[in-house]
Amino acid sequence: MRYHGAMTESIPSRRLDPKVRTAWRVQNAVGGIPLLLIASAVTSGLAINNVSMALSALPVLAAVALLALWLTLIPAVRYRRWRWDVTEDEVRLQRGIIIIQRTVVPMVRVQHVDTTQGPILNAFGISEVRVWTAAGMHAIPALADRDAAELRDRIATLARVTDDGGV
Amino acid sequence: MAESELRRTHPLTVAVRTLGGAGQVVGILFGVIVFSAAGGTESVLAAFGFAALALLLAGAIGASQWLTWAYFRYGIVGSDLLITEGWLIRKRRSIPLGRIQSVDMRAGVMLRIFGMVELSVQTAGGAATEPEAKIGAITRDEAEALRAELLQAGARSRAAAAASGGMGGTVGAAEGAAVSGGGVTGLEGGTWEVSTGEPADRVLYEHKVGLGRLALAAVTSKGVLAAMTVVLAVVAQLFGLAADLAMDFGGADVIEPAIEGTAALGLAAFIGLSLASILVAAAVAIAVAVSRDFGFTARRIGERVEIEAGLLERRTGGIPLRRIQSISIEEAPLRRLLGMVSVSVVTAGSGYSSDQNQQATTSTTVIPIASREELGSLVRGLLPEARRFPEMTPVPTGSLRFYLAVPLVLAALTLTALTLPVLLLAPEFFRLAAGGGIALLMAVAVWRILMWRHASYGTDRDSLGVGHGVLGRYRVRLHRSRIQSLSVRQNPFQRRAGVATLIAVSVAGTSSEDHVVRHMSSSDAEAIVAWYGSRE
Repeated sequence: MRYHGAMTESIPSRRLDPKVRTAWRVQNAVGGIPLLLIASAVTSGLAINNVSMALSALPVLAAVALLALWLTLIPAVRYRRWRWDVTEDEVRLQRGIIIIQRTVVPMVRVQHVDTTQGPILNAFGISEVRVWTAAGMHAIPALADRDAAELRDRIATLARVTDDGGV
Repeated sequence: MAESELRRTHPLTVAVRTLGGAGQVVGILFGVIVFSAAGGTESVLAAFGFAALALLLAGAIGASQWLTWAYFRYGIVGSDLLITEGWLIRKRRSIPLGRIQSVDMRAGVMLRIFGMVELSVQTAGGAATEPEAKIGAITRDEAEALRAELLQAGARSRAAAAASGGMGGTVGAAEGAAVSGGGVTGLEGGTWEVSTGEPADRVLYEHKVGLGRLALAAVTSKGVLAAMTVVLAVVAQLFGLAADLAMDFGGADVIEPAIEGTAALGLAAFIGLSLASILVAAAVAIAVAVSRDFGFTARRIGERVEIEAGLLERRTGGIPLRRIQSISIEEAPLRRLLGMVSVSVVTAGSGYSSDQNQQATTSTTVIPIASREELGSLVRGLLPEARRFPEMTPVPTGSLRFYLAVPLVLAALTLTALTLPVLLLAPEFFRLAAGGGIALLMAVAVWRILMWRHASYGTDRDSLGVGHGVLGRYRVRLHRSRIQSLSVRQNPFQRRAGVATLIAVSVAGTSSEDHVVRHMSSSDAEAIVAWYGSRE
């Protein structure tokens, strides 16, 4: 079956806050430190046991390569792929770097909304908006604090209004 | 009822609970003493000591149970079920009647002898608060009266809340039902009036499962195989223990002739013995399963499905329609061969679970076993709202390679990793290892091909059907109002081939459940997303 079944339905229009790329890079740098430490430990372990220089350097090289990707390319691609939209009827999300995932959450299913931020996002003035259904949570990971608060309030209103309005 | 008029549970509760608790303790002590004082005069002293200890413990348990009973009171006060309990720490629980999902009853042999039951009130609400309130033991009549009152008052209170247009806290969000005016949109999208004290207890349909069918269900169930293995293991242990004891007591003179005797009988005896043990194990497992579901009766009463079953312990549980998240038609491999199906229902919140496990997902069997021909009329009787099952489309032929690709690659890699050492260290076994490896790869391929063949999906006006299975066939029906969110996932290979993976999320017990259709046609996935998002 040869047909181009790329998801052609309209891609949600809104994006995340651009500052999130830097925030992600900082997060990845912090997260990458333990990885580097472990890799260097493995490398020194191998070197001490007289494994050839080339072989024992592999773990560190691999870790450095991974970190390089994580700090440069990945956040940019991830930002570019992240799209969202909130209408009266539903919340639409599209995300993914290699595997693209699109999610639809009808407004009638939304139980509540909140915003949250860790210390790194806080420093950049970014918050995460989390939409809760009975089955779990869906998050828009990075919006400017004020935009996040506005969206949260808007969803809260829409969810309530739609419930009362009935089918 | 005023708060001062709260009732007590029946005084016999103390006796029954004490016997239960004390019995367990006595049993454990007995086991310990027997095994430690395996012989000699110390055993007499041990016996006395044991008796004294047991009496002391029984007394302590009895006293504690009496205190618990004395301080336990319950009753309906205003629009709440009020329970006050505790002698050391006083606890007071007030459950709004509107939050009561179902009222279940349970009675073990002891209680049944005295005509009493234990009531279990299941409430709507997350896992944060205790989902269950137990009242026991009370006489059966009292229990039935209380239950009728609770369910009716609950329905009335919910209708009132709905009519006044406020969501409040009484309508659980996991019900997924839109509320408008005085009606409640149910499973099928139609509306029916919430009963307000009307024939809420009228039995609309009843189905009883006969003993033969139950035995068949037990024989073909997955649980029986597991149980058989356990029983066999226990029997093997006992044989070993017996041999050890014989050794200890009789010494070699007992063992030698025994071994010679059995060796003489030879292989035939051994096989015969093994078969006999397996049969006994199977019989025990089947007996346990049948006794657990003895007299299985499923009834449709008002807006709930009631299940009553059990021989030694009789339980009665209700599944309110509002809490039903999905309905599964299951054809386990053996049952499928015989043309039999079973139906189970997944409920949200702490639903009634037939195997007494408060697991995160609460799946209740509504029809343990029935023939395919009977299925239609049974579902029409018990769950008419769900009698239509969407027409299912299988996943496209082109997706077979997706089902095979990753697992085969992984299997091949694992095999290489395992056979390479064999090749290097013990080359003479390589052929064997390679042969086994190829057989394994073929098994994986067959498994995945079967999985691909049974993957299917379908929608009708307001429900989604997801089909899966390898040897058996399982189909799940989800009303659109029970789907909390819908996702479509696509990797670059899928994109090029025009397939995608659909994920429908529903609430199951206190966690979420994913219903996945892998590698389906992406245009159909898009269509389902459109169907889901449309307001109709």
